[in-house]
Amino acid sequence: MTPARDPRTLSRRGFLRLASIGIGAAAASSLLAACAPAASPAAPAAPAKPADSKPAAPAAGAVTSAPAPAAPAASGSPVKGGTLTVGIYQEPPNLDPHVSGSSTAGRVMRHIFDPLVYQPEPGKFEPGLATSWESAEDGKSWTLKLRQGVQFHDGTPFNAQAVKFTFDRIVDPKTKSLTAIGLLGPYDSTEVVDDSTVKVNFKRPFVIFLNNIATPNLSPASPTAVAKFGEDFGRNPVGTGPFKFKEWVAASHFTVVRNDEYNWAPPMHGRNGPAHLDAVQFKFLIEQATRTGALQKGEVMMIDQTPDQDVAAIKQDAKYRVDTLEQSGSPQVLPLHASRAPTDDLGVRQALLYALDLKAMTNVVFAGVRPPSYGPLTPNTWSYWKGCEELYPYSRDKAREVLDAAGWKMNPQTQIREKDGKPLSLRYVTTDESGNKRPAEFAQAAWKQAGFDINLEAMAYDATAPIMARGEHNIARIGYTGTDPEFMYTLYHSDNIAGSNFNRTMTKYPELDKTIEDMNAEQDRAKRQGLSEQAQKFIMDQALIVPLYVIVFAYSVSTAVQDVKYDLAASPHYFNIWLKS
Amino acid sequence: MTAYILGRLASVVPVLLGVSLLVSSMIYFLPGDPVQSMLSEMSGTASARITPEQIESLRHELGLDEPFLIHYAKFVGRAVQGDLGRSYQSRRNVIDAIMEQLPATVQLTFAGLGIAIVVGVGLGILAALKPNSFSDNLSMFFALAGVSMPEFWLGLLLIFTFSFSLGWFPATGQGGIERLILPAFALGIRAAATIARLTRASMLEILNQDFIVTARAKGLSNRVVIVRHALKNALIPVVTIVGLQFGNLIAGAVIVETVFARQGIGQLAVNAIRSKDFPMIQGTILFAATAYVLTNLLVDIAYAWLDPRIRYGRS
Repeated sequence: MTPARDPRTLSRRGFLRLASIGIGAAAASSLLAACAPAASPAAPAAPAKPADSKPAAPAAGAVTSAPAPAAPAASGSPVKGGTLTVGIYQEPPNLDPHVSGSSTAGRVMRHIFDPLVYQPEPGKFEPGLATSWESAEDGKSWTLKLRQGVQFHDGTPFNAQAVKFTFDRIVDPKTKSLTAIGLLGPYDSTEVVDDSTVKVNFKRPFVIFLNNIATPNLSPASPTAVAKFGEDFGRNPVGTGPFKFKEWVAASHFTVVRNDEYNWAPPMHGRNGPAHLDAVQFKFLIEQATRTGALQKGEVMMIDQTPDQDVAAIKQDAKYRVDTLEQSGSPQVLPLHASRAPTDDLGVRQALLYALDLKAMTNVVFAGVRPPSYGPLTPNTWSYWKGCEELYPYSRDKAREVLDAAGWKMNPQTQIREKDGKPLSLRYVTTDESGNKRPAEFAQAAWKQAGFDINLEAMAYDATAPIMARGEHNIARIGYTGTDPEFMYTLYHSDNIAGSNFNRTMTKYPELDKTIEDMNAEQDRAKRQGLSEQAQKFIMDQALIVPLYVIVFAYSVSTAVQDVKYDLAASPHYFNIWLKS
Repeated sequence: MTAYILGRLASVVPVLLGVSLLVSSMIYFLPGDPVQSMLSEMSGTASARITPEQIESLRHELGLDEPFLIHYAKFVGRAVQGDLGRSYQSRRNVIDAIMEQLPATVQLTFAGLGIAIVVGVGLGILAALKPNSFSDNLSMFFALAGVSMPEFWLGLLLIFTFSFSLGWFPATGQGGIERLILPAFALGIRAAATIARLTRASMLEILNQDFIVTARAKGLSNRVVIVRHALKNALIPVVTIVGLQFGNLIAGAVIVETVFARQGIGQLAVNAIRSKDFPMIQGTILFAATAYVLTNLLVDIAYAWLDPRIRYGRS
């Protein structure tokens, strides 16, 4: 094959010779180098963040180690400038509010796009890009007066046309909207009444319109920028918010910078004008331990989704505080299949509630970070019915009593209760994420004490979905984020048993269906509140769910980061945040 | 040689077809309705309001409204032209997204490979020179520890020690050699351990052969005997294992990138899996599999080139 040899081509023998010498030399030098590893890396220590290089912080830290709101006032007056670095647990796919469905994206888009109205607390609204709003008598249209003198980051004026463009864009199938289209409900059309007035028409009365336009997803986007970027708008978002999008480095970070033109802050911020921070940089730190470590190393000043087990340690450190925010909507609950034996028996369902010590469960499983929940709504959701807290106090005796009364007798040999020769065996289907699996294991053990035989199956969500859709479970699981009790339609109305299968009680209760329908059509807030409470009471009287815990979003924040307040979706308001040097 | 290369090339085609078949069929054979679960995952809070039109549109975009074989044929047809579709969520072209992340992964993989070779071969030689000595035992203890530690754990260990406790290196991100060292070690150590064990065994075998004795008898210096005679011959099996390890390094990069929050195809894949972005998952898997297969092909060819017995033995 190779009789004549070109001196320039590398021969087999030549390669082996070169390789052996090269590798031998490199190996030798690396062994030597390994003895003195301290030499080279000394340099990178220099760019330490002010967050942990200032020993002055602890004094303030002692004050702020209590939950969020206490801190700001005592810490002096705001300083302009600086870049806040935030470690987030996910890289959102897209920052187009009309397309994206990611709640992580929502927490970033919130600051690039202003909503039409703000919802500072459940059920309370204040002006955003709309200065006033009015619902028609029949509830089928809403008239919004828009703020004047606002422009998008690209200079495009904000006006009635932009609002119409936004809503029409959301319902256009070409947009492929995921969340926004659902939030627009029975949207029909938008009429431009004049340059700063729109009338939004719906096919049916739409009472939660204000609640929904307070989300980032229905925020107006610049029509010029949408036309310019097309499908890439999600990577080049242009809104009217206090921060402008600057850059997105895939799989690394994105950065927003202050909008110096910003002069339309909502009243809840207590001041107007541009934000204090020069920029906010969001770094994608997917791995939990890395996220916590990056905070402690000072590579970021703030992280979201602090692991439960790290909360106590971070709280102890005077350089940080932990802000735990309860997510509104539905807590994590276990819907009980109310028409499949044996959970078709009310006594069985109630016994499950009595026999589970939720306080012990949340302490053991979540280190006390996530609070227990007692009903279909979390306490910070508008119209929460407090009565649920007293309905099923933990009592193993009471659980035994209820089961005895329902005819389930203990078999002393198996330690499992039986009725008509059938054991009290329940199939419990949940996901293998620790937030679901660990409480499930706790509950399984607790229920065993009361004579239940729990077949726990913890697997990937995609494997659980078909089981639940076919109704082959006794105990399922679900959680849901929302700010209005309207979502009870999704979780408890019989329309959602088939199809979406978000109602995993699998049982139609005409009375409950009607209460929920009435609630979602009622315009009078007081009456609506009454209907919501009635629905919550019905669900708990029938013991259709075992509520477990409130989902908590825990931010760990360096004490250098001042004036941190959060909105209902657990997004910090970066507008008022400033950095103490 | 040409015939050998052509033969090896031909054998790659069915492997790649098999991989693409698995990749494109996974969406068909997953439990539940992948379209529904994709939409639920993506739309978060409003998932129950998914309209039939949304489902239909996604089904069509993914080509799931067609019989599997047609779907597969189209998938392969597009893939050979370098089109792996678009992510439904980010609206990005999958190939573009992969290409954007490729340099970071290549950089990490080669840095890991470099460490694997240098540390592995070095320790292997060290161990073989004085069998059963202290240095041999230490090297082999290291090798045992190295193969036993998953990259994930080793990565965290390195971060905690050298970044959080000692503060020598930054913990996360990319840019600059100081951000490459820890991830490259986390990635390379496992392969280094395997290479060290093999180098040691191979060296020991060679060192006991007659021609080494002859070389020594001729009065050649120890260095010449080891480097020019023994190592050269001992390297042949090492080249193979290096090639195979290269494939493992690509897989390990996925983990290491996540732990160190580095850019790269691994981050892309993990994010895609978490958000059920099927086109992106398929794209990254297919890409990694292709890279693996092609690397092994190169190793085979290199092996045949280095050791003529391989190619002649075949015919």
